[in-house]
Amino acid sequence: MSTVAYERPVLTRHQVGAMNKFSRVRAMEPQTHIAGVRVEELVEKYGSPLFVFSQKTLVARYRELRDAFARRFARVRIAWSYKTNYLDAICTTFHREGAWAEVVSVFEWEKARHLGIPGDHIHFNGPLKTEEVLRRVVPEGTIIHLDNFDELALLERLAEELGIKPKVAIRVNLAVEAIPAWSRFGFNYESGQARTAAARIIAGGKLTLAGLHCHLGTCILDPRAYRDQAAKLTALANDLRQAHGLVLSFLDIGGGFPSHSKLKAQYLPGEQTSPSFDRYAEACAEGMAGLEYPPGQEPMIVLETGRALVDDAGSMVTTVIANKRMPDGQRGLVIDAGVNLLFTSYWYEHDIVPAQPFGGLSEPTVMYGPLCMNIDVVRDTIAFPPMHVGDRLVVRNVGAYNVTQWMQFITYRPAVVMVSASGEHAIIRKAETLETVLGPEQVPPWF
Amino acid sequence: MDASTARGAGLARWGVRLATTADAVVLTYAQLLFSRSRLVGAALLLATAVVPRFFVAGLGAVLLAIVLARLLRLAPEATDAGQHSYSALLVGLGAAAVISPSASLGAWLLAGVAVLVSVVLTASLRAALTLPALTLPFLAAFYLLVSALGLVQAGHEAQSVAVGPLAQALPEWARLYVRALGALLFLPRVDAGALVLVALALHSRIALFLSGLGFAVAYALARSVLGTHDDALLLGLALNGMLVATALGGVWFVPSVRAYLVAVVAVLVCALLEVAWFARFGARHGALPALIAPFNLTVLLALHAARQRLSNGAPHLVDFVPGTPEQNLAYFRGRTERFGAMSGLRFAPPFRGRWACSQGVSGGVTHEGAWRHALDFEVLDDDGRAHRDSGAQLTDYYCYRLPVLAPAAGTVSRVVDGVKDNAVGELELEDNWGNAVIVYHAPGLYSCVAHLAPGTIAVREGQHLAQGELLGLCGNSGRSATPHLHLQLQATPRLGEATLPIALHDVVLCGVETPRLQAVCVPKRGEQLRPIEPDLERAAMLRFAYERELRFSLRGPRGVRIETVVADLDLLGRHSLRSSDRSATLYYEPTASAFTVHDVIGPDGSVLHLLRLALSRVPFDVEDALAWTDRLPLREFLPVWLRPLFDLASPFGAPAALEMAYSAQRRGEAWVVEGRSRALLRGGQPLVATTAHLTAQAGLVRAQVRVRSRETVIEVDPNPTRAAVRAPIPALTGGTAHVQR
Repeated sequence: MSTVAYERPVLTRHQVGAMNKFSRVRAMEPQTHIAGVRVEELVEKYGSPLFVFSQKTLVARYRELRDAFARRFARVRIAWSYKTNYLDAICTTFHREGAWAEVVSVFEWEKARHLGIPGDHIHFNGPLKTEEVLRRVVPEGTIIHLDNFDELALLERLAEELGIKPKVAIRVNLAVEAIPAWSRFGFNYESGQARTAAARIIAGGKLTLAGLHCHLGTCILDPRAYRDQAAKLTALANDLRQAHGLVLSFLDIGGGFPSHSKLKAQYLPGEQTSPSFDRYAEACAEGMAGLEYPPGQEPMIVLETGRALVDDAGSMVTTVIANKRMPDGQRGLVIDAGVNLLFTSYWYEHDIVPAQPFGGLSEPTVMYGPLCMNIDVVRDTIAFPPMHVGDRLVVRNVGAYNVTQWMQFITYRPAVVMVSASGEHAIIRKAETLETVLGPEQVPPWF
Repeated sequence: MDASTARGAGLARWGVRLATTADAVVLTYAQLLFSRSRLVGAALLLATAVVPRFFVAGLGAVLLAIVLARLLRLAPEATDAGQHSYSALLVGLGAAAVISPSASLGAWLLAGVAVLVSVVLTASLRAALTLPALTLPFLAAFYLLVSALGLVQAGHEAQSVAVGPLAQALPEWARLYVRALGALLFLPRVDAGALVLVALALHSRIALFLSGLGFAVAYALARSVLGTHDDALLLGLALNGMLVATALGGVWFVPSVRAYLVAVVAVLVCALLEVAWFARFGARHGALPALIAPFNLTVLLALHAARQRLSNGAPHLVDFVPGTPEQNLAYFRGRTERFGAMSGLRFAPPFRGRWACSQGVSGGVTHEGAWRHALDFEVLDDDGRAHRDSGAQLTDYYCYRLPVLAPAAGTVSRVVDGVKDNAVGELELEDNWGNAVIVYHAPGLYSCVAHLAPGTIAVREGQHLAQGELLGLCGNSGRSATPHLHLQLQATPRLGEATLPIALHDVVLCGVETPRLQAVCVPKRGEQLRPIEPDLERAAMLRFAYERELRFSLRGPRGVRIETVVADLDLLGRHSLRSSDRSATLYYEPTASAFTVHDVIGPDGSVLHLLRLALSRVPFDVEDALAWTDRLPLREFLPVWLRPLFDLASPFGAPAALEMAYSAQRRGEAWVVEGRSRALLRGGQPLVATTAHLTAQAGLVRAQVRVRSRETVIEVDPNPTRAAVRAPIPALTGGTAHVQR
């Protein structure tokens, strides 16, 4: 029979539900189910740690985004940002809803093609477009978002050589108030570089300038940034129509809408600070009100939203390995998922809750991952109740970037599971085994 | 160019001229029965030949009229269709009836002048009257001729005409019926009448029935009420009765029981005119005969009366280019059953994206009484709530400040702005419409959107609008407790006017298993709907470049054959595909949101009939999976012997359409449109089943059409040859006219 370790009693003033100047103190509730399925059932079947995606949430978020823009713009297209999460089941869920693909490498492009997306339903973005890459994707009609003049010249040369007129967009970088400008991608708006690039493309006659593209940044909490961005893109589109008679077929406003995750710099939780898609759509519509295009020829609004669509749909189940008391008196927990799986822990304060009913007093707690590395801290401090070894925790809103940026480091990567709207669940990426890791390895013949 | 080629070209030009003239002559004769069939014209021409004098006089007058019309440079299409010369034909035939064979040349000169008068009057009345000229020019010219003949010809009584052979074999009423038909050509003979009867039967079964109906009413009246035996009066009553019934029951009104009732009443009115004329002038020496004046007066009276109605309800006036009564009925029924009663104007939902109808027609809250034909809309989330959070703020409501669009093209006739938005739950009963925009669409047809947010109205009074242009943003002004949008149609630009029946077009109903497209829809409370969101890539799949040649190979039960089809565009901007031998034509309307086949004419075997089954209507929505229904004309699926019976039965409401259920889905890179008729064969299989494969690269690639058990596989040649490039003829009407022939 084991004896319970002695824990010194602490007296604390009882203040359930008290208000502070920001909001009500939130009482932590356990999350026993994910998308309607018991956490314990999932762990028993698929092991721990485990990524779980709710297909219902994926579809609901997609439709919410699409509806918000489709109610304000004549034509709307969502191009699923592959880098955010390129698991086949995730991509297919969005493609079935009508999404095109937005890729930034030939690997992602091949993945989209493998999923049956026609080459001309792919927006190819990013700085990595070598001649080899372009030779591969241009004949299939992929839309190339130009990043720099060298790329422009290269593509013109290829267009002439291949005898095709590729559809291109100009990636534009511009400054809006309150957020740092991402000036490393594309052509600058304020300096006139973007106009020059457009004039060059039109004069060259070898490429079809189909659209303008701007991606402001990431986790942009203020919709007004999009109003300013849309206004600048609109001004550029009006200029191009006046100067060259060019009517663009799309304006790509990029991504950057926040999910319900909480950035480390934020004070309030994500659900309270992240504006709804409606607010972003409204801001864009305000910014584009000045577009002088004839009715019936309104440009397609292209969205490359990634995080805001997939983040809330993904949860991670992890298990408590050990309790610790740190030298400074802080409670410590060792869990079986660390920064190897939750890469986003570097900038988010993840919302973590126990997966079973609990008692006891919450205390500031530090959560360590399983790596034998000092940096492996999932939360450096979180008010958390006492846990038992083997208890499960649910880390919420981790669908974006984690299953693409995770590492096979020190240990295997776990299974990824999807739960359908009707409650069925299945593996969408198998847990790694020794074979997975050994697969690409070789020992040279001289050994 | 040497002399012989010049001469050859000259000869060829004369050849074409002669052929056009011959065509115009035959069409002139057909005009007498409101027909455009050359066969009908030829039969009537033959009918005049029973008395050679009439043949020569009629033909002479027609040729003279055509030459005069050309010299006067009247509208050449009308001249070539015989529309300037049919009154002259009657003048010629009438002259043959009143000028004695022994008359001097002066009499025939006068007749020539009368022909000129008839041509000039026809052209003038066509331009000046909003009503049809009918045979008024003939009457005026002929009365002049008859009056003037007194100077050059003593005793100008109408030449007595023999009754013709076999007359005694017929019962009295039948003899009168046939002779009255002949009297149309001033030849009240059995032989001439019989040929007119043949022409009428060739032209239309409905017209034939109507002539019988008109005759029966007139004859019954003459016999039972008037008890007259006067041959001239009987003939006059019968001829006018038949003409009135045929014209009103089948030409100017769409054939229906109500149109037939109008025709019967009009025959009675016409008989009254005829009898009054006869009683006043008939017995007197030198009086003008009534001829077909009662017919003219009655029809003009009826049309004028019908046009005073507020809306073109039943019986429906023909408001499109008329054909035979059967064609009028088929076109009208096709149009109303496929696209609703409103002609030409199609109202789209006045918003973008998915909204929900929160109060429908006769909705019980405010859509009652004179304002019952109105629609309210708001936006709901998946849980059926209209707002996020508590709903205490206007900005919590999903629809608040969403764009509101012009439902159809028009001119802004009234703008109301400056009414503040109510707080949630409050009502403004003074300016109860709130901020509103009223748009003029057509005479007596305005739309009104109300409860807009103040200061958001984006249009000015007098501004022209295209469908879908921004009017303002949805708000909560006026009698509106929570943000919503009110839409109604009305007859005047007055704010608060009574409503007219409303229907929305090309609506996608959401919130069901497969989104369903409805070509015409009156939304009900709780239904989620959105306008078509056009997918340009899909629209390009069914776009046929002008003069593009498509080669179809058809594999069916009778082996393989090739049919070549050319995309064409006519002077009126109507798009068509016609088989290269020109025997069959498919009329279609390509818009950004749908491909719509309006009609196919030509032999049953053409691939165009099969294409219509497979692609009767294809919406170009962004949704991958979509379902919709359409109606195909049933007549084509009936055996030939049954078709005349079908023609006679259809005005009485017999089902005229084959209902088809279509669906589209993406299969790999292809977009597949499948159709199934609701009507089933005995084995439970659909009567008609179709599949069409479309791709972004090649457009229509393949189609399978099964009618009964006959399956035809249609493959499209992947490398269609382009015809020699000619400068395209620009569309006169912007390419969206959807009138028939």
